[in-house]
Amino acid sequence: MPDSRKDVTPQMELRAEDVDALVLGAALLGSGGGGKTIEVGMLLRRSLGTGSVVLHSPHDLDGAYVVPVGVVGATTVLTEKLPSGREFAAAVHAVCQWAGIEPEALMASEAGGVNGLTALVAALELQLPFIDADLMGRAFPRLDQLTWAVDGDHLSPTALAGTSGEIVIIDRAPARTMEGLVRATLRELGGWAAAAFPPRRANDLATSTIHGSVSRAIALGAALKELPEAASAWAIESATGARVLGAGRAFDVSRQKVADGTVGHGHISLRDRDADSIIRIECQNEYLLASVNGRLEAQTPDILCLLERRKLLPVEVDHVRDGDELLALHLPGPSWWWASRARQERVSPRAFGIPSLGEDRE
Amino acid sequence: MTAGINLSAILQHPHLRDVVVLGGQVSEQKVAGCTVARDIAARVTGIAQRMLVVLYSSNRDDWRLDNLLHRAHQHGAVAVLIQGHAPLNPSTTALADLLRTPILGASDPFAAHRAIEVLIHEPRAHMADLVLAVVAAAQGAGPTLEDAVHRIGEAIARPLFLVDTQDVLVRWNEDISTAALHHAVSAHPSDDRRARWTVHSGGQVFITCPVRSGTISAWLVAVLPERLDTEIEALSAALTTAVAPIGQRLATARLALERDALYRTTLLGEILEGRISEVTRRRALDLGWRLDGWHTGIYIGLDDELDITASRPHVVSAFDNAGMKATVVERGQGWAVWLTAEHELSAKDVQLQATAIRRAHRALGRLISVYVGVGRLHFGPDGVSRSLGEATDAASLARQRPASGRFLHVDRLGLAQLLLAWTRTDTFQPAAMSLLEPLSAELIETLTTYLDSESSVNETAAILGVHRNTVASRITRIQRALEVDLSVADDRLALHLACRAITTPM
Repeated sequence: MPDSRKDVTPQMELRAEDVDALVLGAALLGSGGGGKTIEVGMLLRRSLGTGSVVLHSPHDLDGAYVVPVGVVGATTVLTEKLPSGREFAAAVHAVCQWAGIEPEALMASEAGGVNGLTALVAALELQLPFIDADLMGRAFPRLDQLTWAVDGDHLSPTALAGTSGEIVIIDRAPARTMEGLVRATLRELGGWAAAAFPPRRANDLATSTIHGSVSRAIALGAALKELPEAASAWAIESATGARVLGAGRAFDVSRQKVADGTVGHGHISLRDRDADSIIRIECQNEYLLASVNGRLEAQTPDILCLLERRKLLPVEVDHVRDGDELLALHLPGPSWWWASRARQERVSPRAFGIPSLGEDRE
Repeated sequence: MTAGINLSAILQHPHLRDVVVLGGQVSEQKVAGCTVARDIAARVTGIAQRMLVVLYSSNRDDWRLDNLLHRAHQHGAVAVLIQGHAPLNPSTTALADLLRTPILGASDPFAAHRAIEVLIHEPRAHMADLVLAVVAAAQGAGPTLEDAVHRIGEAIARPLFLVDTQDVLVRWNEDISTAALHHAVSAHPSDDRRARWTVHSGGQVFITCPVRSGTISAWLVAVLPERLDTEIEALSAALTTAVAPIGQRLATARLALERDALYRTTLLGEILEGRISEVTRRRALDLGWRLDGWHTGIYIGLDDELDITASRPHVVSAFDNAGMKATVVERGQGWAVWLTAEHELSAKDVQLQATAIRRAHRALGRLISVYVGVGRLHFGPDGVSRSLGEATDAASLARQRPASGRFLHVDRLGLAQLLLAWTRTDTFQPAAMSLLEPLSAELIETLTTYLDSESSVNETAAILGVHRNTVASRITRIQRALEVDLSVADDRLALHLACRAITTPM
């Protein structure tokens, strides 16, 4: 719906023809996790029709209450049981009712993976303005890795809406407890739920969110889409601003399945015959750390992607198989995370149980 | 900085049996020392040409193992040794190959580090350890040579052998061939009493250390899979230490051999002289000798100045292997041997037995240079003596006859040849010389030809190429000079034998 409050420089708008780029870009920001974006892309395209969504910056909507929304839980179940769109409305209304306010705008809780798209579906459903910002700038697996939780703010109240119409509101829980309570609830709700996080005024979002993450996803996806098949590393780097770590056949793909069906620690290695190098990626739900010939090249919160070598389509962690021809890409992570050591520590490889260098010698 | 020693040689050292190669290739790398790191995250500097030993590093999935390998490689480390024998991830193995920096595993990295340091930097300590171990092993060993060699072999943890010029006396490993051991020993200068070492094709190192005990010459030989100078020096010292206890056991064993040999020789002497008392019979029985029955005597003479007592087992086993149970007694520079049958042998059995004896002779001939005479079948205690007597005569004839394979069987000799053989004895020769002394060389030739030609003047003239009258006149001169009458059969025979004795080359 049109914005009536402020008039600013040309607004970026998302139309149906941009969805393909967003599908690709959100998958890149997923860093191998965050769920498959294609199916939600179809949902978004249908929701958009011939219309568009304006991607506002927070200060466009100063003073408005903004609700971050997204899907929580197992994204593999999400693609089997697609959202109807009503779950988001139910969650947003529940959290605003509990907080005693009216929702005035939406934003994504997470820009990487499916949640780079779900908040847009929700904005169309609720006919609310959409703010081009999120609380991760990429994908992370835990709610206590949302920027607000990392900076010490609470996530209460949070509302969950299940696919059968259930509503769960969790309030007065510290961020870590919130993560545990949500996981416990999800087991009962059938794997995933729409989540609406505490509403905040738009002018409070300046330093506590990552700006422009949806437009970044679209730009990345568009750049990738433009590239020809089997593009050279140089072409990929100049088009996307990413760094190519190498390309080759996957071997030594090892992932430990853990009890709840999610992916445990593991690693994937590529043998780059041209560069005579071995690229090794440590992973959990996302790609977390990359080394080339044993030398550390990149780690969270930077973004790592594995793409099909020829078609340059992102491959998720649990879809890599021995023998796949892949290309490893390193994208700079959102600068918000690098701003302090405390922020880095919450999302560093070590936060995922993967030791990195120079930080475990207490 | 030293040039370092071969990593592959270090890894084959017995003190590093705990160390296995987990990834990468061990080839020609040289190691100058070890540097210890606490864990895989430790800083590593100053490790050029060194082995990096990481004490706590059992997790193979930790990517920092790859990172450690990268850093070790960058700083010029030769290899990385980590904890445990568990296999590496394929990524890590591939990286070790790519960086040409092998990863080794040891259940006790610190012990491996210590062992490597000793090998590289403390050769004297290694030598002392090994010498003490050998001393302790020799002290704890039993009285036999076998036990002593085995225990010393265990102490040095390397294949060890006691070798003499002909045989491997004690073998504590089956992998090294007798030929290779003798090759190593033959390269050891006879006047050098120190331990020496040689590198054989394939890189094996043979360390030889002479053991001298009276007239006995033997060598202790230890074998290393690859050259490792520290171990070679230590083993040379350790083997030198082992020479005394091994030599003492060799002398003791030799003494027992000599005693037995003397006993046998004396007993045989009594039998040959025909003095066969009850005591002699009983002693013979104790030794398992059979005096009754049908005997075939065999004399085996030895050409070289070899030790007949030490070589006797070769004779025994040569007969054993040919399927004969022979009595073997040292006699002269050789052995008196006889075979005994309960019943008289048929002509065919004699034939078969002769073939078997020839087979034994051939087998023995491959080890030592011998000549053999075989007597005829004779019965009873006297038979031993008679058959051996014939065998001894046949043997002395065989010695001169390479054409017959230096083997003569009396049954196959013309009696005449045997008689002829007797003319070559030390007593007959001077007599023949003095009998024919009055004759010139020309007359001796004429006489010999005349007698060989059955006293035919015509035939003699034809052979010598002179006129028959010349022959007749020479014969007359001979009869006059020798004062004999060639028409008397006895005179003719005596002169014929004398001619044969001095004209036939020995």
